[in-house]
Amino acid sequence: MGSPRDVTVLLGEWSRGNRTALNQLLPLVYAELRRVAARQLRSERADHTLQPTALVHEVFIRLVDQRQVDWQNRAHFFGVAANVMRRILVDHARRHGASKRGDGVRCLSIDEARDVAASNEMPILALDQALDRLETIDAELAKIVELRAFGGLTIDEAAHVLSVSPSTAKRDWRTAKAWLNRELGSDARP
Amino acid sequence: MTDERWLRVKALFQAAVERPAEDRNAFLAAATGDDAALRREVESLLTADASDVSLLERLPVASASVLADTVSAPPPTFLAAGLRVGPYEIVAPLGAGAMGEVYRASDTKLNRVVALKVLPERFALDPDRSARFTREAHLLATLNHPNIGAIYGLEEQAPSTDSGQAAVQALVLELVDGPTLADRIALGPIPLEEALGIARQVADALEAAHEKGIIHRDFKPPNIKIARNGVVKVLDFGLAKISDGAPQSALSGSPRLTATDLGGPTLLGTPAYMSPEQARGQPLDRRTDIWAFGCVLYEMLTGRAPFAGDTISDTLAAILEREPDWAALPAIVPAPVRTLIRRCLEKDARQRIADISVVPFVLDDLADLAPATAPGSSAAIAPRRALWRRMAILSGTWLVGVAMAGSAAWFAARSTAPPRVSRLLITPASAAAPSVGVVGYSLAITPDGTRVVYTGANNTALFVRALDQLNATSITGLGEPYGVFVSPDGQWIGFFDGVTALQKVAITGGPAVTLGRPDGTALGASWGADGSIIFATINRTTGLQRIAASGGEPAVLTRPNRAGGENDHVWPQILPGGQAVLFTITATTGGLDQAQVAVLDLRTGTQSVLIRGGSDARYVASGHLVYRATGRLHAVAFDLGRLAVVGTPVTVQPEVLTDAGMAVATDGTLVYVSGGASAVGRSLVWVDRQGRETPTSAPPRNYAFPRLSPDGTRLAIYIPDQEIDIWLWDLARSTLTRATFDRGVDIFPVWPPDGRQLLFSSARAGAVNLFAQAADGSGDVTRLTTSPNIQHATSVTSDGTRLVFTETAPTTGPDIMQLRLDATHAVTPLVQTPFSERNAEVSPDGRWLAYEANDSGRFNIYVRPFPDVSSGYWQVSTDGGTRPLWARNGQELFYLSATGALMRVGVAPGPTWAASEPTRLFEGRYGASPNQNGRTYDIAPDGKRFLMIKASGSADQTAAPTSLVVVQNWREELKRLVPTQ
Repeated sequence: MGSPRDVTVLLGEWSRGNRTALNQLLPLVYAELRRVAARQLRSERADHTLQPTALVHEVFIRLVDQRQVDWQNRAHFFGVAANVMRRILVDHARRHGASKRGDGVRCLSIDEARDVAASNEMPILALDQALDRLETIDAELAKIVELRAFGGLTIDEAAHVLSVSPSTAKRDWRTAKAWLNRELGSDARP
Repeated sequence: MTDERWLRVKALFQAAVERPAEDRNAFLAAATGDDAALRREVESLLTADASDVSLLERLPVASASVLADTVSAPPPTFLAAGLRVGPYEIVAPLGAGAMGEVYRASDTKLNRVVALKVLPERFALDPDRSARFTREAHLLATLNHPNIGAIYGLEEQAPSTDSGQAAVQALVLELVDGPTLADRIALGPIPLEEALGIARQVADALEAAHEKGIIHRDFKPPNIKIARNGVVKVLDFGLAKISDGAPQSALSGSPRLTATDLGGPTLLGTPAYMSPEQARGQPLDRRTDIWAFGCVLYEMLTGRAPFAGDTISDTLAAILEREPDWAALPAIVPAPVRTLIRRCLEKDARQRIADISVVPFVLDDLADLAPATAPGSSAAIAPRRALWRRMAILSGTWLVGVAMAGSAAWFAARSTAPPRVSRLLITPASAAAPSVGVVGYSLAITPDGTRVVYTGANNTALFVRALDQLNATSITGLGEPYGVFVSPDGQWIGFFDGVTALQKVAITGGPAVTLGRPDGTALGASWGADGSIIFATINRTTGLQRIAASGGEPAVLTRPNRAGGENDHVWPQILPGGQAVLFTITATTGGLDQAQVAVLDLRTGTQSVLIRGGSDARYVASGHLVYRATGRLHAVAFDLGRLAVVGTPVTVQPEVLTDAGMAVATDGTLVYVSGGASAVGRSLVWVDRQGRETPTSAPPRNYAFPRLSPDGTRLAIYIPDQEIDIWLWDLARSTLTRATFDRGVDIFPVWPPDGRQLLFSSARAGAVNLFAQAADGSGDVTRLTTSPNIQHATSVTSDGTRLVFTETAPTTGPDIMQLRLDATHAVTPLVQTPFSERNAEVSPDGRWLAYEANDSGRFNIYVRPFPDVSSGYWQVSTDGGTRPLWARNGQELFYLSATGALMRVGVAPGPTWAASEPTRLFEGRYGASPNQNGRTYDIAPDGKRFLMIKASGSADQTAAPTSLVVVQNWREELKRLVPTQ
């Protein structure tokens, strides 16, 4: 397992509605993400930072047979990979926080998230929790953020994964951004 | 925010951002109307949108260490998004706990989001353990309480060789969003009032679990969630025992400090809340939770756990040997709370408070005390017994609390099998029969389900029927009470008297206490645990209003959104926790079929619609909303934390409810009124002087206040069951047509002598005032009066110059007034005393004014000369009477006796008053509309017969006896009919 051919077949299966295929696909994506990261780390400085979206793209190129996959399957792959990427980042942040506090998972309160937001980078746990909250209100909006932010999908690709028109995706993306900006604090905070 | 609300916000935002920035304000103002909260919500998004910060640029970058970490870390047990465990589809991981990974999952069957706690594989592999686990999980799943994070059940999935998926055993839990109490305490000590509010809710949760013989065993701040609406939820009940693998008996077994516990840094926090017996490895009972409760209350108030040490051995030593630092409690903490904490933290379990149910009593009492004088530190270290005694004196109901604790313990000792549903039919003697009201609530039940309160005896008394007694006791001398509701402690009955006053009376009887003056006839009221009452009236300029249960000025909470098609906000029901209130939004058209059940979040002021096509919803502690739709009782699962309806509604009571409605006790006992008048509407009948009945062809409707036109060809009549309007019945053509079309209440029609106009009362412009319109519906409606007081039209003088009406003033109650029907529209009082005078009718010869008044202690019929009403005064009825009516020739006066019989008095013509003794024409089996004080019958122009209203479906027999149907343990039936899992 793990050859571009396997992954491509699984992707096709899954996009035709076979849930089992997804179950087999995920560990492959997960393992490949780590492998790609490890390889990059060996060749880079230790404090180097990696763009998650760039990683996902590299994994895609390595895992999927480019000649066999169509535009739609590519979108589905990024949908899956975005979720895996989000999970890796959140898991790490949790473990990192846990080792500091020594009492397990610690959640950022909104207030803390606002403080952190002063530095321009969005804290991953706060983003993750905000996305969870957004999901309870509007799952479509949360998904489009995940696809764009963690999977690096374009508006058109995200629109396809979500089965909506590109113009809807564009409107939703703008709405989701405004919602997250408001929730997580930005210069616009009153 | 509900989906509904969000969809509006989203649509408005997306529409607004498409517009030029300078046009947005105008657009939003037009689109949101007077919904300021909605507008603010959209504006905040627009502001956030305008900020230049790009979300993508702000995304976290993965530092190299992140991925280095994942390379060395073992791959987590991986349930991917989209994977299914039974009907649950994994959405995203939530975190890892002691018992395994927790995922957010979507319940595809019930279309709700749950938390799935996936257990470590070692559970699934050990058959003994697995079986025990299954048993416990099912027991825990029986816990159902608004303050307990529900365990919906257990999902097991066999390993699949096809997919390579391992066996999965998962607990299905309620997903509670929000910070934990530990998060909250991390920000610092919690203010006293808030801390006590949280303590009150967790105590309720512990009490509910203890009653089922379930102890938490790991009660601590990280297991307590504060949902966004302020409802506190205790999580992971009993899971400590499951994970420990102790024997299944609730009263034995103890978690031991194992090597893992000592070695695992993630468990560092846990021993701080261990009870001494837990630390010693002794058998546990519910007192171990009470210890932990004391620890949590202490920690909320001080910001630190009472026995926290730097190391585990320090912590254990403190638990076993040391007193907490009592001086750390802020000075503002009142003595009873200090004592409560001390009694929870008694190291000897036998000295400790034995039952959590005493806690609510102590905390509730505090609400009644004046702000506590700060106790000195000397008080805090005073000998325990002396303090205890002082607390007993401070807390009047302490002894009651102890007694209740005893009974709770007794209940808890009984079987854990679900209680059986039983139905009782109570048919009170006619003297104690319930009155079926048209407005407001006619019955209520105490929260503990032991006593039913209803209005009866033609609405002149309240009756209290204890379910363990044979007879009801009455409380009289309250005027004409209606709209009953009960205080949370079951000690007080709230009610409305006429339209003048909101009052309360002890459930054991005694004098009534006036709390305030509502701005119209009441439409529902609810008494919150925080000592406030929320009520609603027919006045459409106000929606829900709140008043202190100790009395005061009402404050308006909501106003109906006219532009949005809302007519009024009525029938409030405060939800447990007091953070939100259910209510009904009536629609401007379509009657109750178009009404909506909504919820108002009292913290944020936001309201959202829960159910369309329903009304009068109540919350049942089984996790359901019950409400009326198409006349029948429906139920739907309700998530109190999210204030959202879950799943599909089900009809749970096939019988059509009467206007008396229903009441549901906190314990799930349902009571409703069956049979009697108005069960399926009422019919119009002619009754001659011998009591012989002739039906009319008018369809059964909920008729009241019939008024025959001067020529006898048309009948103006009030029908409140649809549009709350006045209708016209054409006697010759047998047609029923609507005469008034306003969204507000139109009521009390009166014909002037020419029959060309209809004069009536209407709430269309706020308080019920007087209006006129052409009888054929043509032309405009003319407003005749403008008054903050409620005005009920009763009669027009035979010369057509004056309209006589009842006006209810805050100071003098109902008085008789007259309005000149000329261009001046001048209003002058006729009979105005502190007593109630109403239903005045001027005799056809214009010499006499007949009316009813209660200055003798009950209503009797009086006559005065007219228009010079001060020149004489005669009592006509001898044994009580209401609703006088003159024969068209002026030689007879009729009225209804106290029992509802139609009475006749002969009147001699001429300038001096001379009348015969009253005689009875026929008995009162014609349903007067209780709570509606207007005249409920009329006389034909020839004087030979009377138009009466009677319960339909019983043309040749008297109305079915009115009964109370009591369904005990109804929530068990609800759970079966409408599963919440």
